[in-house]
Amino acid sequence: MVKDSCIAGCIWLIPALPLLGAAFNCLLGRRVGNLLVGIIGCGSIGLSAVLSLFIFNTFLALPVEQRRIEVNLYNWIPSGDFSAPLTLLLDPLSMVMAAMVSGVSFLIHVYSTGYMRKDESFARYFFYLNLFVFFMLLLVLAGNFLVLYIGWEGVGLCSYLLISFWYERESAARAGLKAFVVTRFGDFFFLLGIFLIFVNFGTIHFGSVFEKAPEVLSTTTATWIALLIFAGAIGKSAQVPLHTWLPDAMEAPTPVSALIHAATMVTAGVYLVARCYTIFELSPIATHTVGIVGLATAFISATVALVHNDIKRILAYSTVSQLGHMFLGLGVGAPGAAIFHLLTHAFAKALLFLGAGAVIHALHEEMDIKRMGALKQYIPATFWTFTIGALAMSGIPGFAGFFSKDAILHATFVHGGVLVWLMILLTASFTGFYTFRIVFLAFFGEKRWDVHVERPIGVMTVPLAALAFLAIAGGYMGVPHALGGMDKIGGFLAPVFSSHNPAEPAEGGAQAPEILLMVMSAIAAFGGIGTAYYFYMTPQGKEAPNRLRQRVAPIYELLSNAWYFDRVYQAVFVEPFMKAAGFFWEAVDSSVIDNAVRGVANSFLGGGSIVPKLQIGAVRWYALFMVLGITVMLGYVFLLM
Amino acid sequence: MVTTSHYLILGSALFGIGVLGFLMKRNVIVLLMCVELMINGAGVSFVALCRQTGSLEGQVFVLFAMVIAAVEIAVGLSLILLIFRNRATLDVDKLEVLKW
Amino acid sequence: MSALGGPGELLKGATTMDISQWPILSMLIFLPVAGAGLLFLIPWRGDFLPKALALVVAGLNLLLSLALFRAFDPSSSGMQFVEKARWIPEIGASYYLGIDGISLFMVLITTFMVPMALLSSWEQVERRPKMFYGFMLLLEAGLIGIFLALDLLLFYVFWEVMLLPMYFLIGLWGGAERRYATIKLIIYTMGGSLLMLVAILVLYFIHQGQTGEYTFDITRLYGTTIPPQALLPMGLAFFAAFAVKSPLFPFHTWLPDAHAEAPISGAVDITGLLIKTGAYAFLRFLLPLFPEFSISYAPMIVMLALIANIYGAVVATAQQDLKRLIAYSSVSHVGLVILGIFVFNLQGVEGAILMMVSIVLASGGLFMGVGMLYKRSRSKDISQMGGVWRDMPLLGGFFMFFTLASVGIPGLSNFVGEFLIFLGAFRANTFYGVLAAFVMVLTAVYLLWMFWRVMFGPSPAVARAWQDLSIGETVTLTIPAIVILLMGVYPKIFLDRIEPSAKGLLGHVEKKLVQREDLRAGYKSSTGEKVHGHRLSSR
Repeated sequence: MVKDSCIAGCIWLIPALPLLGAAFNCLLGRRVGNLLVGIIGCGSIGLSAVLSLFIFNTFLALPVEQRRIEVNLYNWIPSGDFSAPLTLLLDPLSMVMAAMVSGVSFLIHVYSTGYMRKDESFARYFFYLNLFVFFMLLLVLAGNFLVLYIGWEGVGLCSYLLISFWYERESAARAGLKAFVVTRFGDFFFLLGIFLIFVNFGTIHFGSVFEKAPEVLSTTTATWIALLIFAGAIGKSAQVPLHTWLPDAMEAPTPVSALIHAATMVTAGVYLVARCYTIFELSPIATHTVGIVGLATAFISATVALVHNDIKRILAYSTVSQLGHMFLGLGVGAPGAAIFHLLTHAFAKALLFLGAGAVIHALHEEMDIKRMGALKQYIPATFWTFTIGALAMSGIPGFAGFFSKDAILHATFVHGGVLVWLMILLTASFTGFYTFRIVFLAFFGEKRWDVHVERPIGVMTVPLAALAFLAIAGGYMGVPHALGGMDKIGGFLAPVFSSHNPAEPAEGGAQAPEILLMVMSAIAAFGGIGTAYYFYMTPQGKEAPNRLRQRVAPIYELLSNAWYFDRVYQAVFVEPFMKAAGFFWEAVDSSVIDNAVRGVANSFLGGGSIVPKLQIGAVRWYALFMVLGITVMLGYVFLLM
Repeated sequence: MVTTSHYLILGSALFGIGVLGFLMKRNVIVLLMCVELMINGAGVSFVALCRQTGSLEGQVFVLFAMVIAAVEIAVGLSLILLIFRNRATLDVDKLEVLKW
Repeated sequence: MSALGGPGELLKGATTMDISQWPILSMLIFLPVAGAGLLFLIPWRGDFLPKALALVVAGLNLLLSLALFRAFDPSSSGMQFVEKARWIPEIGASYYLGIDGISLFMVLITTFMVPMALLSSWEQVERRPKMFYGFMLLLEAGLIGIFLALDLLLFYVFWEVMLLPMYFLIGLWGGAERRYATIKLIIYTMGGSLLMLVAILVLYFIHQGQTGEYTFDITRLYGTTIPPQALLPMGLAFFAAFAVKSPLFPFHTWLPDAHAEAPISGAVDITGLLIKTGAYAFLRFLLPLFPEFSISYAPMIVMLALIANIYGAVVATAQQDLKRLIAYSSVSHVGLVILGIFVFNLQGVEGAILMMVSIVLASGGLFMGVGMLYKRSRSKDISQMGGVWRDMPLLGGFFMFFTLASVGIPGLSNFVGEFLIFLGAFRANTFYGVLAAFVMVLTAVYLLWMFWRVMFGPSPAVARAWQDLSIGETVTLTIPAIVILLMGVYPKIFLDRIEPSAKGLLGHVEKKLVQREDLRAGYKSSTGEKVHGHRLSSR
């Protein structure tokens, strides 16, 4: 009990510290100099990270049934029978997320002090970044849907601000707007989902909703709610068909891409679906949709990543693809595996992005991998850490990504069928190919650039090393039973999803195929890497990419245009909307309505211009009018009498 | 025996002649005279009816009307004089400056 | 009155003295009138003194309203601080003022925004500032009068009186097309209000016919039974007056013109306050006086509100003039407010009231920002701008803040109102909720696109020597920003005080309907299912 209250007493500090940092950097940041801004920016997140690790530690000591702590800060929106208190909830799921978010954020903040050190808007950057961490922590610690929604919108806002950070670039401004509007389109559905939940349950509190869900909801309602929530997740987590904003979001400074557009914000959708898993379980349609969307996204964006040359865009499409994996995991009934993959992916992808940032930094904002090469000799630390990230990403045995991806693949095989599994296997080999395409093209081969290399400074290298460690070690919290491990993470998270049968079916009988599946997926990953090696490292493979490109020209066109999503949206939504706006303004507002108003005014003016014509100035006519008038009036009176 | 009706007929006739004259004549001085005729027509009716009802108020009104008519004539004639000096005409149909 | 010596003294006085004994509502109205009188009548030398006097008067009024806020009893749903005096006893018109949770925040926001507007126009009004400030104070008095009047005739007087200062403010200090704008404003609003005057008189005589008493007291008139054949014309007459002022589609086209041509601080008030009188009047007069009309025609009114909501947002996208764009955003937001009122549930009504206050703050802040930009650029044309953030980061920051508040980011004021309105609409009818909530996407499109075109992008090649905000300007923008944040983070202060009155209002409407079940049955059959869609709930 003591530990309970101790935790309950300081949960609010986890998000509050970054908020304080943000407030400081916003109000005083421009005055106090970059050093203090950096210290406050990193320090607040660092404290928050330490605190959440400390709480994590205390939390682990609690018996399983007590691992659910709720704090009501105050009643935010009370209105009649609706109330939305500011509730924070600490359970295994939010604990893991909070620890990951604060930890990764801290590393990326430290890295940013080096990466952004020459930027004139240093304070503004840290203000946005701290604010982002606040909203993200609020999102994962939320105890009801509306608090989650605050965080949800808040991270979207910070994402917008940071994508448009270098606002003088037209493309950055455009990408920011696009990201905000596209994700808001998803948020719209999410909000409707919240309404539907409130209408059905009379509350938006997580605990009560999930507890009562099986009794209260019919399958149809559950499907509606789940699909609406999932639509929100599609927007935020950049799933097909709302994924187009994420590649453009690479306009943001690279650490931002690492933090927001790889490790944390984009995974919020996965977190949301996992959080509401009880509702999804009630609706087979919804879970299937999640799985199908995840699969489609994983495959489509992996194919697009194969042909791009911009290092950040490749990583962005890779992120989209990996998020697809997570949703697939959710769709096939393995939320624990999805969250596990979320964590390992966060480490690996943050590492890859930061590494890419170091590369870009070294070559003075060069992002085209065709104009890199031979960087291994110049920035070895970056090379090694990047390679670790790439190995983890590709799912090479022993690295973090392997275990989590395996968990998803296994669940897919069991619940999704062989065909789906094969597709994901193919995607896994694509993953190996495109990640190592970056490694081989950027770090090996001949030097295709000539600038003075700017070596990453210490504050940039240390986070890389820390993340590299996590990208290896992170996997060992979930070693599957089949390999003699304990699957600690799965067990830890299980109470959250407990209404369901255990997320990872790990009975003894299933071991043989599970190991077989692992071998298969490792082979697929190695296959992808091998192809990349053949294409870009061996002399006889040099011409192979070009030949391949010519042979499958239409497919290449399709992929390099990212399956034409953007063009279709431009033609179907953006342009008609702008035309409609112009039409309504000019044709309806300024013409129809305004002319009606002017018509009324003019009719008075017209009437007013006829009557005065009677005043002709001739006295005798006036007299005649008077006489006639009197005659008429008298006549009227006589007739009445 | 001259009854009230006779007086009223006289008054109406004076008034009618005045109205017709006002409508038909063009000379401003004649118009003024027609107006006088109308006033006096009304005056005759007033006096006659007062005599019938035996009250004095109507008589007082008529005296007032006569005084005011005199003043009106004075103002009117002087205006006409000024108009004639400026425009060299007394034809009302040509005096139509005051219009929209 | 000696307690008015200074802010500290006043607040201290409020704790020790029983403020409810003061004629505080009348003071709120007549203090600005007195201030305006002093400004107009005394031959001032120089501009500083009259400006300072106006500001002091407006500031005192703000303090007075804050004292009122402190003394306000949040648990009561009835009228508080009631003042009643004979006015024209022969026809039963009285000077009758009162305040409840619905009008409380309307009054507060008025007394709050007027000093803001005065501050923001401190250096921007060059011609005859004395007159300008006098008219601003008169406008304040008229607005507060509208929000406080409980006598229909008194209300009508304030309703019309308020147009005068508005007319002069736009007509004398406005932009190039100001004559067109003022005449349009007057024609539109007068047209609506005259219809209402007729309906007021009809109501007056109907009430007399039923009770034998001649009165304009709305609390008495609330009990009047309107004969069915008179219901539609009378309801429409009131509706027209309020819809024009709100402004509701399709009566909205005066607003963009008035906005675009208004002087900067006048614009703050139009956006914010003038149009709130329309929405407020819906709540205070149309709903309780004509509940049958309100309920049976609600589907149509809601449709208009939804159209306004989406149409305003779409048309705003096409605007090239900054002030016009913000005006259309007001049209869109006001659509939401009216939607919230006509879904007849607690969330909708509370959301509508919060939203009204919040639009004033957020759009007002945007307008002040535009004014400060205009002072430097002498242009309102969006296509002429771009890269302003580079020159004026501080203005950029504030502008972003107010834009985001308008977009409805949680934690800022608009969100709470919007959310409650969406929720109320969704509960009344899923279709309403979906359409209404969709506007959040469109709002983001037009506001952030506007922001992009104005603030983002490279600095133009021509060097601009634009100074960033002065300290005074910073303060002017900071104060509303703080209130916006407060409303977004802790709306309970507001909701707690609104709730009893909103509940009371809905309860009254419901009761009146139940009392005449027969009438209602008749209407239900004529409008079919739609009445069911509007189940009343004061939950």
